[in-house]
Amino acid sequence: MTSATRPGRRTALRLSLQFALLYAVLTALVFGGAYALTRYETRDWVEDRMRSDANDLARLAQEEGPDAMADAVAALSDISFEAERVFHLSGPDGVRLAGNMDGLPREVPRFLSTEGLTLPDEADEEVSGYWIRQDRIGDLVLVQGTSDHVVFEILEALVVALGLGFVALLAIGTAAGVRVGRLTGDRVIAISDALAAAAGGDLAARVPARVTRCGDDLGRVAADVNAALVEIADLMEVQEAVTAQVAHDLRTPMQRLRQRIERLDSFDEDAREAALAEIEGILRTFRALLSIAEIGVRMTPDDAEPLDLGQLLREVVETYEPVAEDAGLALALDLPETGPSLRGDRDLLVQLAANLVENAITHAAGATRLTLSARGERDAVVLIARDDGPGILTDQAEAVFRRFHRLDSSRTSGGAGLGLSLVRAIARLHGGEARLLPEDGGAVVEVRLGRG
Amino acid sequence: MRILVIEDDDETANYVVEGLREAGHAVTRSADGREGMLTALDGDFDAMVIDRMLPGRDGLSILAAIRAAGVTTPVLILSALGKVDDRVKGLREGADDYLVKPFSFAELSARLDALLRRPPLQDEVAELRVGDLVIDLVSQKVARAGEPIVLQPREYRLLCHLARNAGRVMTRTMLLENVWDFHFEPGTSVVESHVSRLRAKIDKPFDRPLIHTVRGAGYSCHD
Repeated sequence: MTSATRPGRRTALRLSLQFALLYAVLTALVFGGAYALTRYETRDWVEDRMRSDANDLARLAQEEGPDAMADAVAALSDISFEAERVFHLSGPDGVRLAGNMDGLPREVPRFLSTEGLTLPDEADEEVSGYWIRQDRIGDLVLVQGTSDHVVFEILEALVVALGLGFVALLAIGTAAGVRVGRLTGDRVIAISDALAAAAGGDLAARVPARVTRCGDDLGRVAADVNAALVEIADLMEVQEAVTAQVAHDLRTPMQRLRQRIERLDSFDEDAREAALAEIEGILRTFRALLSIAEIGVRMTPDDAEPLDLGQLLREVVETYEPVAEDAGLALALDLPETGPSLRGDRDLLVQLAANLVENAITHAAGATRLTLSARGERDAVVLIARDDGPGILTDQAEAVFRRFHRLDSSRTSGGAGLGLSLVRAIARLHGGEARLLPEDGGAVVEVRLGRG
Repeated sequence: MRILVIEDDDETANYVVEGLREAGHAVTRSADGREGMLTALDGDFDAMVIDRMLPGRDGLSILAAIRAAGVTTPVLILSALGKVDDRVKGLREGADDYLVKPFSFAELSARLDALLRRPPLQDEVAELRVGDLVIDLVSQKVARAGEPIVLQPREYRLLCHLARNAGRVMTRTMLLENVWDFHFEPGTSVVESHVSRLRAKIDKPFDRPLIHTVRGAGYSCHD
């Protein structure tokens, strides 16, 4: 079964993608958290340092005078690497006394963007802004800022680390996912292969031991599948044996009964003929029942051959035309020029088509026309029998396929009540189904057959 | 004709044997598979009737063995199994015909007749004649008493089959199998309808019928 290889591969691929997605989400969360934490901690540390420096400068101003503090601010400004720290010391009139930054707005916010500021040339381009602290020292105002550059440096390192980690995790995860998926997939394929083989008629098919041996869920499923297959095979065997036994045990006495009636010394030839006809009627039902039972037991047609269903229908219609005409029923065909083609058991499919015609002849009272049409679909062949009789009530749509079901219980035509069950049994044997389509006016039987 | 019957059920065997003797055949009966096979290999028979299920040895394996030994005598297999594909299996093993129990003696007899008198070279015949009916197999034209008769393709095939077997009884199931290739019993009178249409063209316009009904058996075409 070629289609059986797909689900496993899909599982493996899906698993890998899920792993990757999970890693991506986790990494994003870690990154977001690390960013917020780093920023918060850095900000805290920067604030502490600026507060400490402001206190030191205030003490200097108190002990040695404002000029000494201005010198210290100038010195700090000079040694600030890449303008990591900026200062602005101003007098009461707002004029800058010392520092390496200018162009402050009147109201200085807690975080100041570099835009509009006059900064030393060596200021790092990556700096987007400064955390600002403002202190009043005597009648002077000290504004100091620390660039957020350090945060970006730390985050950059974090991005690289997490990125590499993500790639590594993705690679390992995908490899693991593919491997786990392939393991799972292989086993799913093994189970589905066994089931497909069984459905295809090989009841000896089992899931291999390497799958059932694994103690996990899939292993248990595989073991259950095998147990069910054993059970089905046993049941089939019993059913087949019973069918054959019933057939054999009933046919021999029936043969005797038939020959005794045939040899009865009777002057009443008509009575004998009538008795024989009665026996033939019983036999017909008996044979039809056995056929249905036997076809139901089989999984695939034993004698499948390439067939042209259209041609087969032409032959059946040609054969039934006179008898249908006698019953007032015109037979029509609606077929493609050739085909549709399929592999199947010719004898059984002829019987299927014949039963559809006979069903219309015997059961569709008042029908004047029966159209048989056939068309091919991608992997099925569809045969439709449509008559213009009184139709069948929707609630009877399933019942007509049951053995011995008769819509009109007064009918006694031989074999009646088994025709459509046989149609269904044959359709199912060919990997298809027979059903009644809900239709206004007339009965429409749709038979789907696998291409085989 | 000498006929071998291998059948374990006494009543069925007697029915067959008596019927065949009444019809003028010399009949040998065997009730056991092994013994039956030896008889089949030893004796010189014109036809054999072999039951499918026998004590000692299965009917199909007897068939396979005698075919392997080069015995080409026509064989009719009787089966109480009647499974859907049994007939095909039987024919594949080398059976010439296959009959499912219960059967009527008329059916068995008609089928044996067909096996016993199988025309060897029927393909070389260019024309079939029954009384004043002439079938030209080359041009596929049919005429009776010089008057051309137009037939549908199936009617033509049915008539040819009857005429080819002129004088012999053709049962409904034999006609279904040979003319229509149907291997099941129809629930409607398919054969009767075809025969009646054929009769309307072949017999009705003329004084003497050529297609005769054989009660309890089938049809026979003769003058």
